[in-house]
Amino acid sequence: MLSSLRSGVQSLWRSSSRALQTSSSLRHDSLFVHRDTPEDNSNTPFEFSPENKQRIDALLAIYPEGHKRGAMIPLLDLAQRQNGGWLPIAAMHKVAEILNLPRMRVYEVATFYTMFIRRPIGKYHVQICTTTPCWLQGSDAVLQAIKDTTGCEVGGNSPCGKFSLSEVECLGACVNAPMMQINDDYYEDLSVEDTKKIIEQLKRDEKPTPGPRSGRYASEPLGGLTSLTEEPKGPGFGLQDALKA
Amino acid sequence: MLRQPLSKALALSPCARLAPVTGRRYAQVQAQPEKVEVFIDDKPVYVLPGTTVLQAAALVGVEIPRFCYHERLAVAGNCRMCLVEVEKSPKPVAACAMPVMKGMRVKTTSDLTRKAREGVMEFLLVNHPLDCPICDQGGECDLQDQSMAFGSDKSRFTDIHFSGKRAVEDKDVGPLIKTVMTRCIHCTRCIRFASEVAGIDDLGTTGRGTDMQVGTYVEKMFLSELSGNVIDLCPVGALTSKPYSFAARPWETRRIDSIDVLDPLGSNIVVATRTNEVLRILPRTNEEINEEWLADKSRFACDGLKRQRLVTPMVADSRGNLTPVEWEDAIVAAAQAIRDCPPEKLVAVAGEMADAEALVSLKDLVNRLGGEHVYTEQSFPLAGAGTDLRSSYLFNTKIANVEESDFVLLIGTNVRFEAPLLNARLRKAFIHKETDVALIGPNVDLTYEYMHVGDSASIVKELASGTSNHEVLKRLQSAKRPVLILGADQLKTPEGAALLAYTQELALKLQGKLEDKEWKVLNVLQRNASQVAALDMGYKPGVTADALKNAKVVYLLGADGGQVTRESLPKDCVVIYQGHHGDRGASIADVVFPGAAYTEKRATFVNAEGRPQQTLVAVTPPGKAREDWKIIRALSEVVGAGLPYDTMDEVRERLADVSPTLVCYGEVQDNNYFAQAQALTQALHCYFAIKRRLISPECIPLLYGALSDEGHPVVVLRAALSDPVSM
Amino acid sequence: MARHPIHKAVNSPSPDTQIAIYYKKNSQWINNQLFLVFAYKMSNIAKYLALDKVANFFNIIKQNGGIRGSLFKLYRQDELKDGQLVGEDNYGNKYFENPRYFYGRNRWVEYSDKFYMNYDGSQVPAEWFGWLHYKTDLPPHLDPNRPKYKWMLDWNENLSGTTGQYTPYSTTRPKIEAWQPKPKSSV
Repeated sequence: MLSSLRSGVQSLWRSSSRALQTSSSLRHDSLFVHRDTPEDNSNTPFEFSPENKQRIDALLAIYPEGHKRGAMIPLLDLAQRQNGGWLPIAAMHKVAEILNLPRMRVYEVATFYTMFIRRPIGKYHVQICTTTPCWLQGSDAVLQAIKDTTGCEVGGNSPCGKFSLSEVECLGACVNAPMMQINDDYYEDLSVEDTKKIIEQLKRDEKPTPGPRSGRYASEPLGGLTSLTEEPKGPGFGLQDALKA
Repeated sequence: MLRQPLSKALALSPCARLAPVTGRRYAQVQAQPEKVEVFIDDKPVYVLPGTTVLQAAALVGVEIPRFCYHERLAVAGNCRMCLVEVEKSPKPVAACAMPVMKGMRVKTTSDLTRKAREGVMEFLLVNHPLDCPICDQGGECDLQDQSMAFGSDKSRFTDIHFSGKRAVEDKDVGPLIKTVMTRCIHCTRCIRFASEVAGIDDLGTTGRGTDMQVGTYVEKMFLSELSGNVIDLCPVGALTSKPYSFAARPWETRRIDSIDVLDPLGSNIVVATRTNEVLRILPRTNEEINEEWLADKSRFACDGLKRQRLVTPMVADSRGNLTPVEWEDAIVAAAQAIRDCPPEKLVAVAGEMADAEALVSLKDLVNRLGGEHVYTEQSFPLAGAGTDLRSSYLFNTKIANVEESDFVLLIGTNVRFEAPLLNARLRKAFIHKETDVALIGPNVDLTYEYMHVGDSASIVKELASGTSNHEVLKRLQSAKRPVLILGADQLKTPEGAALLAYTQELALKLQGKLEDKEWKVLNVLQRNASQVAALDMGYKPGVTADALKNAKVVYLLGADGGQVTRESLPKDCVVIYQGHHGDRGASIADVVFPGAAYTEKRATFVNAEGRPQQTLVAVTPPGKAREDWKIIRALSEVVGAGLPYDTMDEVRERLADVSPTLVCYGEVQDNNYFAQAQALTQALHCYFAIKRRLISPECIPLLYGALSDEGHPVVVLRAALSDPVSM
Repeated sequence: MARHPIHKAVNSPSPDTQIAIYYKKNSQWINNQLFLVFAYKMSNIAKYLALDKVANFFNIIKQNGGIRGSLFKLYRQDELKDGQLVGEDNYGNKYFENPRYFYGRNRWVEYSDKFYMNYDGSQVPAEWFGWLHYKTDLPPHLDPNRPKYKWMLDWNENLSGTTGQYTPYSTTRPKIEAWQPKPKSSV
């Protein structure tokens, strides 16, 4: 309420509105209750493909009898991949049926993990990191570039339906900041041009090369190695004479 | 299916008896482990290893605050309210989940403990709305009480003044439970109850962190016959009773201990009343019957006590329309009809909620006039021993002892809806004690896995004769403490006698081989609260068409079961109805006496086990209604066959004369003579072929499914369903 | 305290000054007065003989409609008085004044015939109440300052004890709903 008051005051009276301060309350961007939609309701058919059924058998074989529910996360992941990157409620029901569990137990897992996406998303799920190291390296510009090229808003799908954009916290590639993840691949050391190029390639359904765009190998320094340049020493290096056999 | 709570499956809390059972205990095979000494606030106490700190503290009378911990549910340990300081432990420990160790010194009042509690309370209150004035839990809220006792008077989380508190969408889980999920503190008691006791795994937590919420994820009703118990379990106002919403505060109500009569178990209840109005019914702990749960029907049917009531005596006028009259006129009209009636044409029929006092008065009245026709509505085979031996129609094992059984065979009974709390016991035994259950009858959902043997009554015959090659026979024979539960509704049919005979034979065969000679195998699960008392007194079960055909006066004592209809009676027959609700019985009556319902009289009811218990007066009977035995007493005077008792104590003396067990309140007498009953049955050759399929009487819970058009408690539930606001 | 001229006129009428006004209003009354004036003129002897009382007696009977009328009024009101008709309200009640009577008894109301014996104080409407109880000397029809708004309700007498009386009733639903037997079709 206070924030709407502030924005109201802001439009009228720009200078003194700074005195009204609010802190934003952080909320998850997805709902934790299910709402039936035409794409996602308990009547939408879902069936695992024959290949995935074999995978399920293999996965279930890992877990001992009585503890088959341990296979829930792998099964949900299989279902999500099969369904184009998101997990419909029918798939959760299927998993519950396979594991012989109450449906609620599957809902609990599927809502707990943020990598299970419970709304229809595009073919390419772009997750852009905006945590401090990436932000310092210009993730804002990268984010803007993605928005411009795909037409996505954060947390939404592109008008063409091919892309979805999420703003995420640190994905653990801070050395190669800024970075983004598209489906299972990391694209690192991004510039605005790189980003645009990647998106253009994806629009043509070509697969851009994952990894750093700066040309370096993984997280090695850009200007070549400055240490550990010589061959590693063999065993016994630097050992006291007395200990040598 | 995980048959145990996780903590138990992982042996975190090694077999801590979460629910103390006061029922019969059997000699433990293993030697008791040595007790360990622990110190609670420097008071020494000896407890078994595996006891939690919280339980040990309870033994010395130190109550540790808690939200998520509940004696009858698995330990969750997620509310952290029970943090206590333990010497030599670097951090405070959660008392509810921490097993005691030798020499442990627990400090429940130290500064560290206090600070921990205050901190937890501060966290809980960050997001808990301060809407106590409009919250139905206000006054009986654990959070309210404990924040007064253990909380701080201020919070450091001032940011909520700007960002607001967390708000959670309310769930719609049906017409009985109102949810205000913003108030939820995530103790997960309701989830554990649903999953462990009710066996309906519909509740769970979705999301995580600050977005975590308790609910069903998809919109659905919490379809359990025990759903009302989550209202009692909820420590805050997140789950409250919808019919009772905004009705009263707990300190305004008077609470009267009473007995439920809507199912055969006789659950113990507390009736909360205000200004002569029953507001709600809560369970009262009785370890031998209902533990601390209550079935939804018993809990929510109390609104039926305000609808469709008989409030004034009525007599049919010349056109046959019932018109309100004074007591005097009604009694004179009835007495005239009875006096003009030859005693062999006077038929009395007792319904399912008749109390023992009224039953004995009515029987005495009929007998004094020289009549013998006293019947109950529910039938029971009379061939063989019939109702002469008490063991033939009782739940001999006793409800609490079902838990000790290792194999239970249900014959033609849907326990889940006939006696929900017995089913909860069976489920508890199934989960915690490895009891296995088999069922002969329709394949119904009992909320736990069972062996379905078939739905033909002939299976019982095969089992009794030993010719069956079904696995269940081997299981029964190898069981140390087998239990047979026969649904009384199966005995209504002409083949009922045979079914009972075979069941008796099977039970006797099993019993003969048991090491434990005290163990009772045979059980008949009655369907209503009055049958056992009526049979004890010598009522004949099941009113026959012959008796009705020749009747000149029919006296219905709350008989609304539809056994007596106008079509089954001769044209000039006078029907006298005495009861508390206008229903089938009253609508065919010529004279109506308004009686008192179970919340309005002090009366004795005998449950399926044969345990007499008494209800107490919670409210006065409405209008001109009177206690039932008094009506009959007054009538007897006018008829000219005055009954020899004037006070309740004298009626009870008479009850004791009839059967001393009827006044041993709260106790169950052991029954024997199983062999004699069987011998009598055998002698009379009531074995014959039975081929019928067993039909379960109610496959749908009364609440949500078939609602009879005129039936009383049920009607009222329907009213509650359609019009929750008016409650 | 300056006395209001009308007040004075009403309280202490002098036959000489009032004759003209009275004449306009009621000739019969005037006739009586003329008789009184004549009697006054010859008063000394008459007064001494208490003949004026006799004259008053006849005058009262005359004014109340002869012997029959007087007996009826006496039966109905337990009182016979003569006086000046000051006005009549919408309900047919007549208001009289006669300063000859002592203050407190010199203004009275004769209830409308339609009330017959069932008259009571609440049948006097509010506007006349003030005059009748000496709150004002101006009768309502002569008072130009009386408010008259459209929304003002008609006077309503107190109906307590009659069939039209107000009976309080509960607006809450009854706690117990009684069973209503279904009426059987007539034989």
